Amino acid sequence: MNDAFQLNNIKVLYNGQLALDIEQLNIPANECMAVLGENGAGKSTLFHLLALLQKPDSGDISVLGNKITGSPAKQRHQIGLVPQHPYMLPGTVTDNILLALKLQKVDKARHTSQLQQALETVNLTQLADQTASTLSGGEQRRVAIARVLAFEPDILLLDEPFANLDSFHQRQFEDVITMLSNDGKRTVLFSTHDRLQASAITPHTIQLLKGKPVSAPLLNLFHGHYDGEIFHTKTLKIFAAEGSLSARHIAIDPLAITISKHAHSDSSARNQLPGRLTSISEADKAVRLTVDCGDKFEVIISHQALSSLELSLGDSLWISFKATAVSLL
Amino acid sequence: MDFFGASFTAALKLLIAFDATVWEIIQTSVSISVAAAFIAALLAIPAGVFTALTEFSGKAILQHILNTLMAMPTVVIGLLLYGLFSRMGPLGELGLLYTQSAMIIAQSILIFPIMMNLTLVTVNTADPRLILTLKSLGADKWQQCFQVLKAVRLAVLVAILTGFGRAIGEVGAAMMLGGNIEGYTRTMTTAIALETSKGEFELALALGIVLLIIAFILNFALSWINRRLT
Repeated sequence: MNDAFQLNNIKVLYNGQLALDIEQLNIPANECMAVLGENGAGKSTLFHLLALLQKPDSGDISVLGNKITGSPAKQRHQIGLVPQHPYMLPGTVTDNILLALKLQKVDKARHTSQLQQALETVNLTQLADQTASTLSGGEQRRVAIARVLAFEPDILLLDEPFANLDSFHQRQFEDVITMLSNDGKRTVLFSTHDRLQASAITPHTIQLLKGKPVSAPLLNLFHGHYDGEIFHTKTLKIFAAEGSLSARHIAIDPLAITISKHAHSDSSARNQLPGRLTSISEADKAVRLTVDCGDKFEVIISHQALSSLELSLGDSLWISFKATAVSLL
Repeated sequence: MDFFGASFTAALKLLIAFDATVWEIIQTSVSISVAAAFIAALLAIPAGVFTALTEFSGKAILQHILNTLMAMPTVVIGLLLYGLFSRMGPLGELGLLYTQSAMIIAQSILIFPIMMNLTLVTVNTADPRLILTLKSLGADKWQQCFQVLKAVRLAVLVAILTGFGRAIGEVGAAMMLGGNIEGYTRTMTTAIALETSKGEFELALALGIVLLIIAFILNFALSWINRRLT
């Protein structure tokens, strides 16, 4: 099967600064994939590149097996982008969707049926005759999704679909994305900075750090410098396995961190840090803890572990993890 | 002061009595400037939108040139076109000198940079997401131009009205290329200049009042559009 996208030696510069630097990245077709990264990691730039709205300063992109050369107008018909802050075209919700169908040169006989289908998919039938620009942020994002779903693109790109939404609407969008990707007929890519939210929808992720794809999970991401044995953040010293001295970040998988009420002198974990429990929340069939050890650590434990440790907010506790659990980036 | 007051009363009487000479001059003036505004808009607005949406080398220089041309003195246009249209000029055989056509051409050239530049600035300052949205929805260049024009239509109307205002108020090119022929190329501005030099202050003042009324209506329309835009 073809990849939806193949990116080779891509470099994108903004004011001389490298915003995106991708040696090679293949995104499989007909799968759902999350693009993870902090603000400014290059997610929106990557999405603009994938939507063929922006050309890279160097490197090449192939969409569904076709290398992009010259004007990408034809390939744009295969891709639907929903930006973080979508622009509502003048007129009603229906006008917006019909214009998209017209621009995509969809047969006029199919306009009504595809309009209805798109409206129903994102539950917008009730708002079809409302002026699009007067709708709320969440509703406008649904209009933007309906606008691209209407022309049935092979690839759907959703840039930060959960940003600035309350938990009810976030859940609603999670359901929409899951539904859109479940039929296996289209490639769905969405970006988020919330790894747990992404993992609730798909196990496939691309993680971006300062414009580069990295393999380590981007939770417990700390900035600092490495002296060959210890990574120094502003407040902590963390033992890390061998890596490049030029590393400026570390990431620690929250599943690799254990919690205890006391320090263990016999533990094989070289990193043992005292801290205070500052939050407990539910996260995709597990429990997410935040422990403040000077820097804040995210830890994932089971419900069973939570009850056996009898944890409550404000408790003093210890976190432990091996040097090998630390990814140098 | 008595002289001014008497002239003003006489001017109002001319207007209220629908004096044939006055209304003929007004009609000539308006029809020439409307034609010029129409022709200039037809060329300048698509050129402005297309230039704003297209990246090419020399775009910044073009914008500088447009800014300069916006302040071009009308007598300079009159002089250049006079050279082209006079019997000895390269286009002398067309017999355009001292015709309404020559005046329309001159006014169109005069207001083209104003309309193009205002359109260009309008599109440049439009929400950048508009173009990105249109591109991502698969719009080709012409569809983008059309949709952008639709979205900024009120601001483009401002550009047209501003151009018309400049055309109807200019005197230099109209005088040089029209020749101020009574009943044919005599416009409000050229008539005002002539009648004042003849000492016929009443007629000049009546036409001046009409020009002020047109300026007032245009300003009223522009501020109404601005309110709609904001």
